[in-house]
Amino acid sequence: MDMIRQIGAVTQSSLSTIPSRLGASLVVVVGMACAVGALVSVLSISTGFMQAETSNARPDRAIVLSQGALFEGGSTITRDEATTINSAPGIRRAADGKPIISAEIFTNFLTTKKNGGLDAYVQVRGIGPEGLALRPEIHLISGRMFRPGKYEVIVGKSGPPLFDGLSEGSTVALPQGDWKVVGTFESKGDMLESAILTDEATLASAMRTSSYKSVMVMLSSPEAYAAFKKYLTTNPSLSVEPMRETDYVELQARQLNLILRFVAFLVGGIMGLGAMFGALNTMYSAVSTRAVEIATLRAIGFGGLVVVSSVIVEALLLTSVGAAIGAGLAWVAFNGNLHAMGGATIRLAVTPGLVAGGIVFAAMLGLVGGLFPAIRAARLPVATALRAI
Amino acid sequence: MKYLPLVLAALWRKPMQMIFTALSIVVAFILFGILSGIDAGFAHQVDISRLDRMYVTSRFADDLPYAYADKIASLPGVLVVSPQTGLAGYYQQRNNRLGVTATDARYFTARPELAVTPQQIAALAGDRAGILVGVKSAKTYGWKIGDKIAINTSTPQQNGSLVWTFDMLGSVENTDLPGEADVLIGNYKYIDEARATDKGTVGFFLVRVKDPEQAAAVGKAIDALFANSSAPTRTTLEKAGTTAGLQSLGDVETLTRGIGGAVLFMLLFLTGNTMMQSVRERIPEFGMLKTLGFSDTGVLTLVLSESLLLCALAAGMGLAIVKLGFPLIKSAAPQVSALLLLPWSALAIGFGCALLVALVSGLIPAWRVKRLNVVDALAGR
Repeated sequence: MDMIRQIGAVTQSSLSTIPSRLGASLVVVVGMACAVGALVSVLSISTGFMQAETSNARPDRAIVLSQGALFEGGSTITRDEATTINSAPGIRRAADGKPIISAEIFTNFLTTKKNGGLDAYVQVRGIGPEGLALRPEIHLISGRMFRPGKYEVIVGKSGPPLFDGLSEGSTVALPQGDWKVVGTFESKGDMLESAILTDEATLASAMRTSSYKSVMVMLSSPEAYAAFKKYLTTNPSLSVEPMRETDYVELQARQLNLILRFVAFLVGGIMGLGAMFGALNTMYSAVSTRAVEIATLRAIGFGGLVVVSSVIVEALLLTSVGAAIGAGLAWVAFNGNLHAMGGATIRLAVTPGLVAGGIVFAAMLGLVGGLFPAIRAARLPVATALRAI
Repeated sequence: MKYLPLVLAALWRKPMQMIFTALSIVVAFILFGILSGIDAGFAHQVDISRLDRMYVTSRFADDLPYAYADKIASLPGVLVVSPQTGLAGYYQQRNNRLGVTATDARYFTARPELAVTPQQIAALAGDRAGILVGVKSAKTYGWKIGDKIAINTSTPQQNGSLVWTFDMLGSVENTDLPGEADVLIGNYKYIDEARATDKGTVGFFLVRVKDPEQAAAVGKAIDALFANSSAPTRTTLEKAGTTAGLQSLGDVETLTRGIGGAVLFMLLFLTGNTMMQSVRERIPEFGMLKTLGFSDTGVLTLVLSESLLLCALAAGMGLAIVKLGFPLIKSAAPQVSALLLLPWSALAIGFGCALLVALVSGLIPAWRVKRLNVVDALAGR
């Protein structure tokens, strides 16, 4: 108890001298602010990307692709196969008794980015009659739903701000002419929010295609997946592979996410290292300017541990303040920003976890930056230091 | 030059402080070098995109009829049309994603940057199930000439099998991106005959024109030719396509510049503070120098030389570490290694930035020393 009081008192007295060495202290704060700001900014892309990919993924939803296909684009499922999948066990049924299953196709709408005017392809997805029951996360926020049989589409809300020609009332050029945008939907921020939705049968006849890309099903429970999978993989008339939605999105997102994280930690780590050397510098010079003061404290009976702690606490404080400023700036500048990745959009996310992680990262570097100067402070030969007066 | 010992002595006055400042600068320029490498790699991708080449794809992300090839080839200004279909899949493990480009000899006319011998082209034409492999893929998977390569795909053969087996006939290098060629080139005729679905279609056409000036006009003519057909096309110039493709990763340039700016800002504070502190502690010394006859400009130059020497040495070391360690970074991230490049020009820009930081951070302390009043300085006031 006494020890803590002593540490408190010494730390307070050392902090009170900061204004007289403001420049050096600012180096630590600014250095950490830059390092953590960069780390958090780059991680906000990866976090936003993962949120968009995985936030709505459910263990009780599954996607069926053709055998060997790694992604939807490379998959083909015939009408016969889709009918067979319809009768698989474990599929949840709607109130009217229909299985909640949606065989889907997609094409792309060629548009341009509002910023820079480069070509971008926005996905146009045809969903089955149960496609909305399958995705309870979708809500119409303005306009109305598309009508089957008509050339009508609804657009996700993050499309219109980034791409040309997606606002309600405009028409998008698709097979068989122009399709009218009749409504806007939101989908709790997932990738679909940058897509265009329409009726599968109408789109299929316009595209003159008779096969599907994928079949999505809602399972009666997450546990029902085993029976569903067994039926699909053992049925000789099927050449398909089911995957739980949570596993599927993980597989799709993993590689890009790894790259983004690698970049973030490379950048943040190197800048952090630089800032740590800055902190070492500052704390060493702080210890040397306060040498007489520290020696006096030691002479009147303060323990070495007390002196060590006070130096470390000061380093931690400076680095944490810097980290908080850096993370705060990243939050102000980037949180919630729309970011186009090709024809898809994600919303950058600076989460509380990310901010906390940035501060912990900086504090760890601060600990190292404070430790060695602190040890020197404790080892200061009292008599020599006092002779300097 | 004769003042060099003086400058060095000043820098080495407090070795610990100098070393930490220098280490900060070294690591900052390691990062700066890596960022320049990414920037330069992206710029190189756009640079090597040819102005005389374009991609003809479906407007609606569909397949196109093979028969389009001859129609496009008959348009004036077209040098060669290479039909291509991707056979996407993986080798042994799902993570080993790759794709076979199903095409024919016209491909090599359209892509002159691929170093391929006439013998290799003849061998490919002579072996239906043959493939030529990019040097990087051959190295990654350890394939040698004569190997049978089984690729798991989602495209069924006539016999229902999803596994396609090819004969490795040789490896090809991409002269624009040495060591990075990861193409697998197979015979369209064979693959189209063997597959069960989508017969007679291609994924896209790679078109090379005779005169780059005419590329845009030829592109328009191609799209006009098929505008009212059941499979309209979209022709993209290779350069525009590359730019758009690179942007699909996000705005990398803004990101690297932003981070680079933050690094320099951080350094400015760091070296600025070190110089400021060092000068403040040496005020009487500068007073002495002036008493000995050093001019105002002379001491200003001395202080600026200190910061220039510090930054130049440390930044040079950081950039040298990046240059030497770059092959290591490339091998750590093989998927993106084609996007990493470190030309001397990027290093020169980095070095220029270091000198700029040195000048700006040394200016205030140098100015202070220049304005120093000898009497006050000697009194330590």
